[in-house]
This record gives sequence, structure tokens and C-alpha cells, in this order.
Amino acid sequence: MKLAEGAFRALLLLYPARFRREFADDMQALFAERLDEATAAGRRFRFLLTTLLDVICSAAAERWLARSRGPRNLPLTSRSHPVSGFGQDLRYALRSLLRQPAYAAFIIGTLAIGIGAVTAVFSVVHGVLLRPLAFAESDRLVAVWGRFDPESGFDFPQFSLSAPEYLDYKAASKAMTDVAAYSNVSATIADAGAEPERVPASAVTANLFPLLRVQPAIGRSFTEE
Amino acid sequence: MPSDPREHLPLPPHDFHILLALLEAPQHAYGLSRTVDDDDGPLTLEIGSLYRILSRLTSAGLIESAAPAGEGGGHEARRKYYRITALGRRVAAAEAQRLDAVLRLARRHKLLPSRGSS
Repeated sequence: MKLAEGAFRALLLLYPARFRREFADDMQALFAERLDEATAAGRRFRFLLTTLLDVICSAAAERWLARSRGPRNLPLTSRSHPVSGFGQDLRYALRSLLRQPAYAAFIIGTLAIGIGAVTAVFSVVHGVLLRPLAFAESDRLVAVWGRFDPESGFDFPQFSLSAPEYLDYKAASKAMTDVAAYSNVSATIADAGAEPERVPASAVTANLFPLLRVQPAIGRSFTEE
Repeated sequence: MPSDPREHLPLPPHDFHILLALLEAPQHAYGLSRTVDDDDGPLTLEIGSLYRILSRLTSAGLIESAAPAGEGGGHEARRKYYRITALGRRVAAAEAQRLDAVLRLARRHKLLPSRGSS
């Protein structure tokens, strides 16, 4: 409790001095009262988080107001009102940034790095965790690997299956509807009279395409025979 | 500061709520936040936002600090009270009239039931 109140008092330093002189003690009393009310841990966490964000935004707005406002005591409608003053605030922001190009570059650079970092993290999370595989019912697909225990003298926690192992899985497994295998290889293709070309390829079992429920882009799939 | 109430209109909704809450008697920020929260339903007026409004209303001369209502210890001793000024009352009344005119318009467009019907 005391720690939170101390942190809140420190947070109040974000406000302009005039605002602090007038309201800091009162704000701290209100903070203590509301903190007392939030008895459950979840509610207290939510209260602290919303208060933190709200105070940061409010303090930034008050500082902005203190800088942009010349004389005090203007009518409410002509001050930084959420809607009516927005255009005025925008113009003021642009003028301020143009007056201090180094500061503007710093702000824009910080924003760019922040946005870039968030985008990069989201791209990875999206690709790895969120986006499903491009196959039907991909949540039912599993990869089957072999494993050498260290006692065997080898330590391969993830090892490709051998052909006999694949045949055993296919014949004996009741947990899986079907099992297909593939092996990544390289192939050389060449048109008559043209330069041969090395391409990545896969040797696959006949049931791989039906299992993944995909059709070849050109021609037809093949069968066991 | 402008003494014509119309120059303060339209009032931001929370500002109007605060003025309404102070019409009866001076209140401290805790009481004000409870009143506004109760009137606005699930929306809570956070501490930073509340004091921005109090600062704004004080600067505009619509409310002012008042002496505490009574003696007390703990939080009570640190509380600051606010009361509405004469200008604040006139502005609240003008805002109420403005909203009344808006509501009459809404009734005419059948967005609200007319006053006679239940």
C-alpha cells in the first residue's frame, strides 16, 4: 500500500508545478481512498494500471495546456476540448515540431523504432502462433519424429523416421487416421537444349496429397501403383 | 474570464455532471467521483481525468475551493472541498436549457417518446 502511494506521489511529478501545488495532496488522498476500496487483488491491479495510464495521459495534456495556453481563465469551449480543440492542437503540434527539427526527428525516430519493434514482434507471433497452416483441419495434423535416447550412445532428441518405422506407424497406429511421409531432396531438371537447373524437391508417399487435402497446381496426383 | 454563461457552452458531459453534483452542497473529490460514476453507470472517472476537470472548472471560475464541512482524521483531514460559484450555477442552467432544446428536437424526430406518452 505504502509503496503504491509513494509511486503515485512520484507519478504526480509529471504534472506542471502549478497543477501540483493546487491538487497533488488532494489527488493523493483520493488515490489512497480508492486503493483502500479495491480489496481484491485483481481489482487493485486494474485500478493501479488504469490510474497509471490515466495520470500519464492527464499530466501530458496538462503540460500541453500549460505550454499552449497564454493567459489563464479562458472559457471552457475555447480550451483543449476533446473535439473542438483538436484541429487547433494539431496545428500547434506541427508548428512546434517545425520550430525544433532535431526534437521532431528524435520523436519521429522513437516512434518509428517503437512501431517497427511492435510490428516485428506481431509478425512473428502471427506467423508462429496465430496463423493456421494452409491445410484443412490443420489442428488435427501432427508431425511424427523419432528419438534416440542418450543411453543408446547417440543423443538425437528429434530424428527423421526410417522407411520401416514409417510403415510400422502406418500399419499399427490407431491414434492417427493416416500417416504420410516425405523426404526433402534436390533434383536437377533440364529442358532439351537448355541449361540444367538444381531445384529443391520432396520425395513423398502417394497418400500425402489426399491426407493434406490439396490438389496439384498442374496435372493430377499419383497413386501407390 | 467570460461572465456570459453562453460562452462556456456546450459543456463537456463530465464537467456538467460535476456542476450538477455541486448544486446541493460543497463536495470533496471522492464524493464527486462517486456521484459521477453512479450517474454514468459503468464508466469510471479516473483520478487524473477528474482533477483535469476540476482544474478546468476552477480556472473558468465555475467552481472554487471551500472550507471542509467538518473535522475528521485520516483521509478526511486531507480532503479539499469544492463548491459551485454563481457563474457556475448560471452556466449549468444554460447548459440544461441547451440540452432541453436538443432533446425537444430529438423528440420531434421521434428519437425519444414524447413527454405525454408513457
